[in-house]
Amino acid sequence: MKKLVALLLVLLLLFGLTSCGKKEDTPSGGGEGGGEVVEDAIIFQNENVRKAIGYAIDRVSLAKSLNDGSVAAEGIIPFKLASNPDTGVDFRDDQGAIVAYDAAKAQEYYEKACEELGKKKLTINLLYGTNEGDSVIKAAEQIAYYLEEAGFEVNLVSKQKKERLQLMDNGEYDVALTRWGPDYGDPQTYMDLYISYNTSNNAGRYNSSKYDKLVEDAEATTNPSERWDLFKQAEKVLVEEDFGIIPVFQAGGAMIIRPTISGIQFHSAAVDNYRHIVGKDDVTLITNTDIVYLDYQYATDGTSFIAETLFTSGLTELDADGNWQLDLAESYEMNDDGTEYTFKIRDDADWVDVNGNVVAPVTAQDFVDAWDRIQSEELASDYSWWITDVLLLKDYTAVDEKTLKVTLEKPNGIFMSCLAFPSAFPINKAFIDEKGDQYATTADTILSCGPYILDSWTPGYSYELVRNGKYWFDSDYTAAGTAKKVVFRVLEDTQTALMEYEAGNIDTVILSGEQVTANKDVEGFVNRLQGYLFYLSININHYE
Amino acid sequence: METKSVKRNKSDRVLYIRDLNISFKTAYGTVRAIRGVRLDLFKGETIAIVGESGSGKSVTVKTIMGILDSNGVIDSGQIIYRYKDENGEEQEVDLVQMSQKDIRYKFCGKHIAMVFQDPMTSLDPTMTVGKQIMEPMREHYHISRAEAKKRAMELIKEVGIDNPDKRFKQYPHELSGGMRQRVVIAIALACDPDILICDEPTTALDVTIQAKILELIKDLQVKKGISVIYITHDLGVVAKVADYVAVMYAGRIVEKGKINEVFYDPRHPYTWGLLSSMPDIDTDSRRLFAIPGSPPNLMEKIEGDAFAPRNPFALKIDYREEPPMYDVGGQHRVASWLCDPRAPEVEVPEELQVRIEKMKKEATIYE
Amino acid sequence: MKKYIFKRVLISLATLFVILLVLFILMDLMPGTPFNDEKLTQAQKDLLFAKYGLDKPLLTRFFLYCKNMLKGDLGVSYAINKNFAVSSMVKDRLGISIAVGAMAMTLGTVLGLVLGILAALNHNSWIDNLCSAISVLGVSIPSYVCALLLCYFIAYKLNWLPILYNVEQPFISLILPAVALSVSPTANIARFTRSEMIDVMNSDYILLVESKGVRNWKMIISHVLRNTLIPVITVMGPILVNLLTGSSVIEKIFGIPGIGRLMITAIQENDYNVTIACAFVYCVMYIVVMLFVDILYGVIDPRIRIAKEDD
Repeated sequence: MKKLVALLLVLLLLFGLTSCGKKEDTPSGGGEGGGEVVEDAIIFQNENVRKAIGYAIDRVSLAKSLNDGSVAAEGIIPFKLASNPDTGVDFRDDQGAIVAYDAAKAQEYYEKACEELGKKKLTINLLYGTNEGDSVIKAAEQIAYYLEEAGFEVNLVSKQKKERLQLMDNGEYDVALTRWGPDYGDPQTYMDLYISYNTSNNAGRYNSSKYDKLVEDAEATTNPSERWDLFKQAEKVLVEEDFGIIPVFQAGGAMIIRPTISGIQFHSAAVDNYRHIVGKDDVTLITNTDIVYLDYQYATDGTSFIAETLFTSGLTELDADGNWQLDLAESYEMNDDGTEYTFKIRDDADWVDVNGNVVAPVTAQDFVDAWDRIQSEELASDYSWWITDVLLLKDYTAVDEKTLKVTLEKPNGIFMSCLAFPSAFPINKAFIDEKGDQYATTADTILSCGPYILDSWTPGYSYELVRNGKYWFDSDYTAAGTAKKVVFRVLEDTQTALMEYEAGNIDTVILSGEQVTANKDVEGFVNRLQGYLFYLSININHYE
Repeated sequence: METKSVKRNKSDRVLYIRDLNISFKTAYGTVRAIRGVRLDLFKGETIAIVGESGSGKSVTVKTIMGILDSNGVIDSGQIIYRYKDENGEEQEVDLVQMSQKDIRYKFCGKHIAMVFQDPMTSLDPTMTVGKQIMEPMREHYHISRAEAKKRAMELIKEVGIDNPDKRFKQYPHELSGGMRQRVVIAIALACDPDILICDEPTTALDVTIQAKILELIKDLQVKKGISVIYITHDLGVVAKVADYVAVMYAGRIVEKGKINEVFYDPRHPYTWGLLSSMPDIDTDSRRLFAIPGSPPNLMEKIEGDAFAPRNPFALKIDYREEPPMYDVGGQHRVASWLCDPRAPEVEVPEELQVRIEKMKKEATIYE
Repeated sequence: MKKYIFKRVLISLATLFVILLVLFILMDLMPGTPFNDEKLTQAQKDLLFAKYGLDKPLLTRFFLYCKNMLKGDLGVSYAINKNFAVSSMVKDRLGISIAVGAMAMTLGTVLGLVLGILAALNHNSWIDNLCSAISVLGVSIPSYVCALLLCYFIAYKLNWLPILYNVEQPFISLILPAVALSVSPTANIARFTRSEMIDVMNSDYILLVESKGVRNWKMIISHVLRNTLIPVITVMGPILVNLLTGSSVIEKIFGIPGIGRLMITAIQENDYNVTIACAFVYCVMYIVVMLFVDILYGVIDPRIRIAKEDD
């Protein structure tokens, strides 16, 4: 009996230890139990409090100190997300910076806010995630510093990501450092988030009828220029006028790519494209996270998507510049107002199994099945809205085996490029039905219709892709000298990764912290810009 | 008191120690633990070495056994051991000249055996009693297991343990303290040694068992003609078993002689103290004598007689010079300036005189 | 003895049942859910909860889990490798962790015993000091640093062994991780062995054995070692469990898909089934190893053996 009790104690201790990261809280931490937060959160309705926060942060210094290629945010729309339909100018350059650092102003607003609220001191509990990367922890500490400079008292509330999100969902927070990765290359992917009735993403319940109207109008109009302007106005209202959220920085990513290889295409608003690596037949790349799910209709994370775009194809794919090119579609026709598309699917588009044998042709019906399946409640896919909210599909039918006809709700400028996303890829229903629960759990329970075949997947260790000889473009790939085998090795530690790279065993390394500075001048050093925009979500109204 | 007479003829000496000096190197300095010890052990004789802890009595016997602690150094002296080798020929060796290992491998367990103080801790808890008894025989005689077992069974019976078959297979923790000490004795006797060293063999046992164990050792000694050295601080034990006694103080023998000589005619004030502090049934415990002060620090150089600071009868010379060994008749030797003809007459304390008279009377009654 | 083992096994099973329940309750108390994701709407979360049966009451879920468990079904992963059978995830990773752990344990035990015995035999000499210094270093150097140093010098500079774990050469590529992992157990076992052995060598019964004239090597083998090993075995049990259940740090550095890393990720991701399975495996291993140690203890220590026979 004694042993039993001891064992239980050991167990509890174990859990205490493993979860202490979650429980770790500043002494006056406001994360737990809504009461305290609710009372304090009222201050964030005061515009001057939010202005003080907005002006307090020196984003340029902060981004620089993160030392990983991150850049200061100039608005909520990140760099390289979308370009002006008329001029081709990047949204960010078109709009210009609508946030600023001004310590004097920050202090001024802080004092004003104190006066208005009748308080001597204003306290902010700053919530952030401890397992969301070093840069988040660093950034949170710096933000706290700047806010204190402005006069605030700041408590850092560190939580695991899942708990941070839960607290935000519940409205149990003051200010949280959070992020949004764009799903597609259009301002809408951000602008949708802060509409007053978006209870899933608008955690702080920013509520502006002016903003709502601008976004609604932008989404309703069929005129691309007008839409562009409306989004610009909406961003100004959200960020510059109301300080509804406080943009901080856009994430970067430093890595080394072996100089002899090239062709990795980074996209800040879409899935990175690894289909065109040249310079080496057998390429080994490092990934710090594993594939979460092979079923591309169910996956949500970048790592899975990158792998999935290698072994599956859609109607289109993005090129190095982010422009779409036809992929499985041989040709397409569009009606005059851009609401009806008819695709002709390639005759040589086939489903191939793990051994490289053709199982079936890719048909128009495969797209219909895919789009039905992703929207089904049974699948409960996170990306079900891709079909309705992004592609704006109203109807889709297979006219014949290789002809697919789709009708859109309204003209959609990003339609063709969004077809390059895994959520719009076809499926082979017969295969899925045959595999049942086992579908997409191993390399041999998934079919390929892309340039590569998933040859093997050892969870937590690696996944290997080999060229699909049956892919329609394969002979061109061969001619271009595209890698015959792409191996992704799961490795979290960057130190050993660097050694392994220098030893010549792997071809890419993701760098972190000090390594970035140390390897800045190494040949092959890349400082890429990611799409993630980190911002402070302010709990303005959620406590109500 | 036993007054068995052992003739102390030179030819019957099994062991004699001459001018033995031993010191210990410690982190704090050198401890001069044994200072010029001279002692004889005759065949079939029982001698007792008496003294407080730290007086050097254990060090002396450990040196004989070759199990001196590793930081101990024999500075000078001789320990001559005489024995009969396998061919029955008389041999004489100086143990001081031998390495500890050689002493142990050659003599320990075979010619010289030892019984330790605490039977509760002196047996290996993970080995059966039988195996432990067989061990020295197997080691020294290289006899077969079966033969060793047969002999071990006999020994178990000999030391007064019933049911040898059962006991043989048992582990030490299954036996009582007295029983364990019998096992230790059986181990010691396994190879028919010439010398048996008993280091406080009964202190850890309760009184009734004490007497039985002493009786056992005595019987075996008579039967096998072994010489026994007792190490003890208990004069009661000495009185019961010893023929000859040596009193040690601060690494020196201060008084030695036949038991009657030392007990009935003690000369050294330290011996007076020891005898006076000996508990007995009639003495009022409140009047029990305790020697004042504590033994000297052997790390420091001792000027004069080491006992002088605790000696109420100390003379001036005691503080300057160490006393020589005075022959006070018979086998009786005393290292005290009081025995010098020039010394003033000092009476044995009255309390002790009464005691001695009583002991004498008791002795005659027993006889 | 048989009766004793039977009783112990029964108690262990009951303990495991209670542990499972506690795990379930703890899991329920864990903040957040596996489906906290910025991309998920509340409606989708509700769908997922219903899909995985997480909307049912705790006890219903518990008994369902127990029932499935008896069939070898530990549920599916919600977050790490979505819809993957947890049983196969755990099985694959546990295998590797056990392999590394067993290598490390073997190495740690052999080295630790050798160092400890050498130090004790040469008590207070330079060998003793050297062994002590090695143990202190071993205990105080974090395994992360040690692993990186090994990687850098042995694998990177000298190129004797591969840096990373490699499925195709599991033994060769697990040597470095095993060495890195064995440093702390080596040091602990060495320290413990040394002090136990010095105690034993200073004990009365060893003095008695010496006084029997038994040769040193015989005495060390048949008396000193046996008595030293009894307590050493008790500390080895928990060390073994620790090693077999994987070290998240070592796994991270060498890219080993082991169970240590899996458990940490599972906790971070709130992947209920994986967390429960990992924690449960941990407990099972602990109980099994401790049971084994107890039985072994009885075999080499007659005092325990007798007590158990009387039981």
